[in-house]
Order: sequence, then C-alpha cells, then structure tokens
Amino acid sequence: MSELYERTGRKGLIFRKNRAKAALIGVSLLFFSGQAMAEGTQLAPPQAGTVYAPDEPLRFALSADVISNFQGRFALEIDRVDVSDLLSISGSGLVYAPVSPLTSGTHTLRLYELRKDEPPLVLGEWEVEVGGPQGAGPEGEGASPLDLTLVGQVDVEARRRLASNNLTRSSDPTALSGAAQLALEAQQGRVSVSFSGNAFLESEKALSLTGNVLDAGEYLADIVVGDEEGAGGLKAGLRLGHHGPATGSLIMSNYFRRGVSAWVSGFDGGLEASAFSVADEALVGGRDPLGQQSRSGHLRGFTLGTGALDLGPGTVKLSGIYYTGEEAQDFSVTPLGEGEEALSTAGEGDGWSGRLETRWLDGRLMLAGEHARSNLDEDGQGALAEESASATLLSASYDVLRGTSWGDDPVSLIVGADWYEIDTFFGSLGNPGVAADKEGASAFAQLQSGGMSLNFSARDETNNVDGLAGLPTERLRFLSLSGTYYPQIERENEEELAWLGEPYLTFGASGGRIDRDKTPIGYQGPDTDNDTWTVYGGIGSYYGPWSWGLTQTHSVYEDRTDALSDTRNDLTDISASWAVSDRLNLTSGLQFGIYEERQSARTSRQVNWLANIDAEIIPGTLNGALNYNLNLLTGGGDTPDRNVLSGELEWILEEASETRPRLSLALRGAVETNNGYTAPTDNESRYETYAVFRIQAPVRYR
Amino acid sequence: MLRALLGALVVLALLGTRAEAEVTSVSAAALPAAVPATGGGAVTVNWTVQRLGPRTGGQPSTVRSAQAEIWAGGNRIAVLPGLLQQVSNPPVGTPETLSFSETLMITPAIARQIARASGPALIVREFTDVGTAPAVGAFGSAASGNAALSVSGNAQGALSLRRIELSFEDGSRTGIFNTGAGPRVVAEIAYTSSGILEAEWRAARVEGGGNFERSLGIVRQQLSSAGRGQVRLLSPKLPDDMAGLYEVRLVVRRPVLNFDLPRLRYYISPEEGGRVLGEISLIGPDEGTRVTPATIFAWEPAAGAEAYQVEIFPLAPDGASAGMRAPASAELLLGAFDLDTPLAAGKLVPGTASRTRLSDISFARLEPGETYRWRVRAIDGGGRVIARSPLRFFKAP
Repeated sequence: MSELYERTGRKGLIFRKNRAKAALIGVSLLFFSGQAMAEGTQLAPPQAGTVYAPDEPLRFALSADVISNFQGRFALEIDRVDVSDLLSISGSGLVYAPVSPLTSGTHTLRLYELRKDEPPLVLGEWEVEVGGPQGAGPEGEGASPLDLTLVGQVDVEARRRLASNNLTRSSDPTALSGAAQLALEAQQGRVSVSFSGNAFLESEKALSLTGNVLDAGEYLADIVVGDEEGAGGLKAGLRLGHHGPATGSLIMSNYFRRGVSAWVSGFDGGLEASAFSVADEALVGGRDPLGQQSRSGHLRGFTLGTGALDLGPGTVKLSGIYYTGEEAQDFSVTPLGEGEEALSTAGEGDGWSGRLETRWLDGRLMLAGEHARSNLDEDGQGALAEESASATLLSASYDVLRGTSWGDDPVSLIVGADWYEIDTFFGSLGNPGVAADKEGASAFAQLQSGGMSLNFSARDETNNVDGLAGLPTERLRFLSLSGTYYPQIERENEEELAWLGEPYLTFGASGGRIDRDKTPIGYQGPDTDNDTWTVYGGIGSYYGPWSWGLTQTHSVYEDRTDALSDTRNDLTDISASWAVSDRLNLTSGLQFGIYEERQSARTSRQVNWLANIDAEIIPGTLNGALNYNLNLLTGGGDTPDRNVLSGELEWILEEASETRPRLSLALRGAVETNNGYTAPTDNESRYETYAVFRIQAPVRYR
Repeated sequence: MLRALLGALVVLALLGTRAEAEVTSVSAAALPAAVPATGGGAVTVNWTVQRLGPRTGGQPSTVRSAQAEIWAGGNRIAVLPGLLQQVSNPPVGTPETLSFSETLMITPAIARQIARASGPALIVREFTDVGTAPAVGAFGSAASGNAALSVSGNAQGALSLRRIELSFEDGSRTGIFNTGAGPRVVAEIAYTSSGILEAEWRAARVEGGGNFERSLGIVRQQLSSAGRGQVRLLSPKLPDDMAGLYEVRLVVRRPVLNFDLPRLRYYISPEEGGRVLGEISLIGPDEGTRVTPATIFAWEPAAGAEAYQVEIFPLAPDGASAGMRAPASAELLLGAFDLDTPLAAGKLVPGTASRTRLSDISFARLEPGETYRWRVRAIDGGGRVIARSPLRFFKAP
C-alpha cells in the first residue's frame, strides 16, 4: 500500500502535500456500536468505559475490500468540520487526535472517500458519546432527560475620578458601569428552549443606553418543537426578540427588529412558513419588550418558502413575503444605530414580494427572479398620497469552468447578468433604504485560481423609471475591475525568500459616468454630466510575528456642467503590527489624505495616526495597554488638531473560577490636546484619570 | 354736444389726476431652479416689482402680496400663504423698483405633483398697491409675475445621504465583546446622486462624555447611482484592548447631513484568564465573493498556532429567520448544546498552513446561492483559542 501522507515529524500530525495522491493503510479494529454505512469501516471503541474521553484519539479501520476499491482520498468530518488535514497514519489505521478536547455530548463522525468528479462516498457514520454520560432521566418508555446549560457573565466596574482638567462636560466623579450577557439552552425530548440577551449598567443616567441606570439591551428567545428525525422532519417554533429574515428582499431588509414570530417547517425543510409581528424600528431597553406597542410602529405579515425542490434536471426554490405596517409614532427618540431624513408624520403601507430561484445543469446555471409590489404612504395622514409601485429583478449566473484546473490549481469562472426595474416611488417600511428609481442591466465575471481572484462588472442604468413628464432622465454607465492575489511561495527551506514573507496584492479601478438622457421641455434645472472614478492598489506581507501593509487610493469627481465643484482625493494607508512576544503586541496605522475642491481652490490635508501597545506585563497579574491617536486636518474645512493618549494598567487580584469572580484594580486615564480652537480654553489640555475596581463573574451551569 | 364734450374732459382729467402709484409689472427668479422630486426642498424666490409713481404728489403706499400659488400642468396645485409687503413713496410719475425675497418650502407632495405635470411649475404672486381698487388696463395697480420651477431626479445635484444604519457584524445594535475580539461595525448607507463620501469612524469611552474620542480611520468612498443607491461600509477594528463601555459612530464630513449621526454602544469585557486574544487578519477571499472549489481561504499566521479552524456560519440556523447570535464564543467543535450559531461547515488545518480550500464534503453542506459568514480561529497546543479573525461574508455558488 503506498504511503500517501508525509510525516512532518511533529507529534503524529501529518501534513498532506498533494491532494492528487491517494493512499491508505488499513487496519482491523474492533467494531464499536456506531452505525457504519459501508461494510468494513469500523471505529475503535473507547479506551475505557462506554464513552470517549474528550482528548482521546479516534481510530478507524478499513477492510481489505475497501482498500482495494479505493480510488480517491479519505476525508473525515466531525460535526460538520472537515478535519481531514489532520488525519494521521499510526500503525495500521487512520487516527484523528483532537486538537482541542471535544465537548461533552454527542458528536457525529463521517468518513468519506472523495473521488474526482463524483460526489463524496460515505464510508461510515457514527454517533459517539464524549465525556460524562447523558443526564439521567426518569425510567420508562419515552422518557428523556432534561439537558440544561446556562452560560453568562456579569461585568461591573466602579470608577472614581482622581483628577481631571478642562472637560467639556461635567460628569459624576464616582460611577458604576457594566454589562451582563446570559445564554441558556434547555432540551427535553423534542422540545428545546434557548435564550440569549444582554443588559447594560451606567449609573450616570445622561450617559446610559436608554436613560435608565440599568436596562436591557437586546435579546433572542427560541422555543422549538420537533427535530429532523420526527415525522417528515416537522418542526415548529416561536421566536421572541431581535431577529429578521435570513436574506433580504426588495420588500423586507434583513435588519434585526424586536418582535415575535412563529414558524413551522416540514418535509425535511422542504416547506417553511412563518408569521411575524415586529417593531418598525430598532429597539433597545426594557421599554416595549415584545416590540408590540403601537408607539414603536409595527410590521406584520407572513413568509412562505420551499427548500430546493428537485425537478429532476434541476431544482427550484420559491419564497414569498407579505407585510403591512406603520412607522413608529414617537419622533422624539432616535433609534439606536439609525439616522435618516424623516417626515414629520408616520408612514404606513403594505407590500409583498415573491422570489423564484432555479438551478440547472448540475447546479452550474442559476436563474432567479423576484417581483415586489408596494403600497406606501410615506407620511401617513399627511399630504403625500399613497404610492403603488413595483420592482422586478431577474438574474442569471453560470459556472463556466467547473472541474477545470490550471496545473495543480482548480480554476473557476462564474459569469452572470442582472436586469432590474424598480419604480420611481417604490418604497417599503420593511426596507427603508431600498435603492429605488432605477432601471437597467448589469453583467459580472469572477475568475479564481490559485491565490488569484479577479472581478469585473459593468452596469448601465437609467432613472425616472415611471417616465414622469416633469422629470429629466439620466443614465449611468459604470465599469469596475478588482482583484486580489496572494501567491503560495514554494520554499525548500525556511530561509529561502524569507524577505518575501506571505505577500498579497490588491488592486482595482472603477468609473462611472452620469449624463442626461432626456430633458423635459422648458426644464429649469441644471444639466447632468459628471464622472466619478477610483483607482487603488495595495501590497503587504506577513512574516510570522510581524506584518505590514500599504494601500493607495485615488478618486476623482468631475462635473462637466460646472454646477458643482470637481474634487480629487488621494488616500494613503500604511499599517504594521508586531507580536514582539506572546505577551507584547504593537500595532500602528497611518492614513494620509488630500482632498481638493477645484472650484474653490480649497485643499485639505488630513493625517490620522493610531498606535497601540498591548502587554501582559506580569502573566496573569498585570496587564497594560496604551493607545495614541493623532488627528490633523489642515486647509479647507480646517478643524483643530487633536492628540489623544489613553491607557490602562490592570492588576488582577483574583482570576475567575467556577466559584469565584475575577477581581481587579485598574488605573486608567486619557489626555487630549487640541490646537486651533478659537477659544483659548479649548486649546488647553484636558485629561482625566480614574481608579477602577472591576468584578467579572462568570455564570456556568451544565 | 359741447357740454358732453366738456363733461368728458372733466372726467378724464379727474381720472388722470392719479393720486396713487400703480404696479406695472412683476418678475421673479427661483433659486435653486429645481428641487428634488422625491423630497422637495426650500426655494428662494426673488421678486422684482415695477411701480409707477402717482401723477400728482402722493402719499406713502403699500405694495402687498398675500400668498404664493404653485401652478403645474395648467392647474393650481398649492397655495402657500405668506405676506410680502413694502411701503414706499415714489416720486411723481417716476418708475420705482421694489424687491422682495422669500423662502418657500416645496413639500414632497408638491414636488411629486410637479414631477407628474408637463412643463415646469410656476410660482405665481399677485402684487397690489393697497388703497386703489384693482383695475386693469392702463390704470391697473395689480400685476402678477411668476418664477419657473422644475424638479430634479435622483442623479442630479450633489451627493446626498438619505439614511445611515449601523449594526455590529452579527446584526445587533448592542454588543458585549471580550478583549481582543476585534468587533467591527457595518454601515448601510442609502444615497442619491454621485460623488465622494468623506467620513471618519470614531470611538470613545462613554464616561468621557464626548471627550477623548479616537479617530479609527478615514473613509473615502466613491458613490455613483442613477437612481437611489446603497453602499455598505465596514469599520476598522473597534477599540477592544481595555475593558469598559464604548460608543462608536460614523462621522460624515461630506456631504453635509440633515439628520443626527447614528451611534452604537458596546462593552469590552476582560478575557477569561487575562489573556488578550490576538487578531488574525484575513487575506482572502474578499467580502461577498462567490466561493467555489477554486477559492483559497488565506489568513495571517498567528504565533503559537498548532491548528486553525475555518468556521462557516449560516445566517439562518433554523431556516425560519436569523436571530441575534454572536458566534464569538462558540466552541471549536460544536456539540448538541452549543449556545451560539451552529456551524454550517468548517475545516481544521494544521498550524503550518495559513491557507486552504474547502473540500467537496464542505460544499455539500452549503446551500447554493445562500450567504454565509466565515472566520478563522487559531488554536494552540493546549487546545485553547489564541486568536481569531473578524467575520466576512461569502456566497455559496
């Protein structure tokens, strides 16, 4: 039997050099109570007892029949993770030694044979128990024990200001702040419950998340009934908290919103349906915990979808969504993380979207389409009338070179095209940022081989999709080419070409021209004729403990009508990092930008420099961190120069354990100097230092 | 007959002895001459009123206009109340020019009606010399004028941002991360027209109350769209080396915003064991790549790594919807009770490798056309995670 794997000399780890080679040395091992799918494949039983130890090697034996029919290479998967690269040959079999101890519980092992141009062949599949035995439950038919796991952490710090100067706002000299997160999972039989959430503490109300000293942040709770092994794989669930559709659509973005949804899936995931009621805007805090109060607005509806239905020569997947909703009424509170031009009254509307996706020619050809219809009154009871509009998206892509190789490297070329038409006033409360008023087509190509990736795209689109008589029509033509290259440097020894490190290149160029396609008679507005284009290039390399990178970007905007100023921008980005040791890290980044407005002859220059030092000064006892930021802006739009230096020394009094919290004392401070304010006092240095007592209490129950 | 003629002459003389001035003409210009069709906007209208002084010595009189009207397609579509008036005493028989200026708010509703009508809209005002009865003809003391106004499409004018939405990479608005976790913020920006976005990522401790803010990186992004556009920006790594509560925002310098900057909050918690996790920089594939068997996943090597685990997460673990799940603390090889997003697929490679391709068995786990998140974690000889990369997205072929 030929040797396939080259021993590296390290502790039994084998690093496979060439995938085209195939070999195996079979051994006979004792058969364990796994569920082997191919005769002759066997998994060795645990070395002691009936369960495997978390770090116990897993040994496989194959019969002479399997070996004689072997044509490809072997692969091992544990819980969906491909660990084939760490398979080793020991004695007369395959062995996998866990790099990290396996968690207690059930793990799924699959051994495959991989052959070129054929689907993977499962040689064996096993469910193995690791660690302690499963929790004991009541005796009797159908009884199943309750598995409960609770993991969390509570962080609180008390801070006392020791010194300060010239702060722009007064704050409490003594304050508490902190955060907590909790995650819970429980399962009994076919019912599982999970929860994860966080909360924030800030005793200074003016600085707190919601105005409350202690308040919830976000959370997610799931109740699921059923599993894949049940009747038709029927599952149902209830979901509370922050969630959203897995993928966005024209009518509903995939933003997370707080609310409630119920879902059911069956036929082994072939059919899914859900109903939802979520708040219109991002909510945090304990106010409106379910997102159902009217002042938060609402989006209510349902979704329907199928998995990939096999039609024989291809597959088809259908999905649809319907919603009806109203915006939040309270305009005095800005949702966390959102900023938007807003009307003074809440909008209302509804809409639906349907999507069809098909795959043919063994998945190489993808054809998809989506159509959406929206009815939106942007200002509700205001002067704007409700707009009914539609949007259609068609797309196709083809994997041209599947299965092709250039030398030893597989190569892939995917080409595709889109056509889209989104009405001028198309809008949705579920997708507030939707890019409407465009009609056009685009094409793309993506080429990958070795460490090289090239992307090309072209787009031609017009606006004024509704053909409104009073609006002009503009056309955009856009081209883009970008790529990355990270070559594999072949070395005979570590010293060869050491100066090159592990290099990478990035590059790209894109340009767009917008000009007038149609002008209404008597039109008073300006003409449209402008170009924007960008060119960038980057290079860098990694040398084990240290690395560097350099990127240069050049962007230009030219307005041929001279209504707006031409602009030019150049940005240079240099970064470096050095892991001096496993206890000391240095990183630094420098950006230098020039921004020019030609019409006003204004040029501004900006320098931004960041430097960081992270150190474990005394392992397990004393940590330190220091950050420096220099921000200079000169020329047009000049703002005061700013230097900020901040740092912290933390003395760990007690490390966390199952019965004890982590305790530490820290001294932290920050200094800021400014130059260029009109008021002299603003140019004085400002600083503050704090003494901090920190408690971190982990929560664990299993 | 002579009497009749004399009477007529007296009447004419009386009529000709004009004691008031009269408005003779009105002209106007609107600036800008076009407002956005989808949002409306403010328009400054400069009115020029020509008036002729009285034929006899007069008294000060007032020229007044009570309201502006907007006409489009031959129909009056809006009335905008707003008094304009001036008092003056022009010399006898001398022409006089009066200037008025006002700012009118063209609401989105009005702008859309203008967009639907043929031809430009007209902003019309009638100016009257108060005190004389309105009359027409040679002795009329009221006159109207108009300024033409059009509406502009989404590609006209300077770059404008309509909406900014910030979230952490897992979609949440609040986050608790361990030191060295390398959290990043995603900004989804909706815009119109084209130009160069100039912005800066900034972060500071909340306790500073706005002081000691660090600039994390300058953003220069070319934006170009005929209609409305959308762009996604990813921040540099946020401050994560010192525990505490932080706030992060994207400060936009150009274009000028007309809404408040959004912010996010996050807390950095000390890593258990006091160790600061290193960050692994990802080399490829780029964000949003369609991953194929030819795609090489490459990353910066981490000192002390005995193995690396490439981890691929679905957006929707249970098929119904995606929820707020932070995979940052997921176990290396997941079991039945994992508390975070379960893996869709993964690959473990020895520490001597810093690149790999996914095998057929991993691709078999991926739904064609679906979007996934991925990252890399480094494991030392003791089986502990010593470094991790940020999350990136890819699309299954």
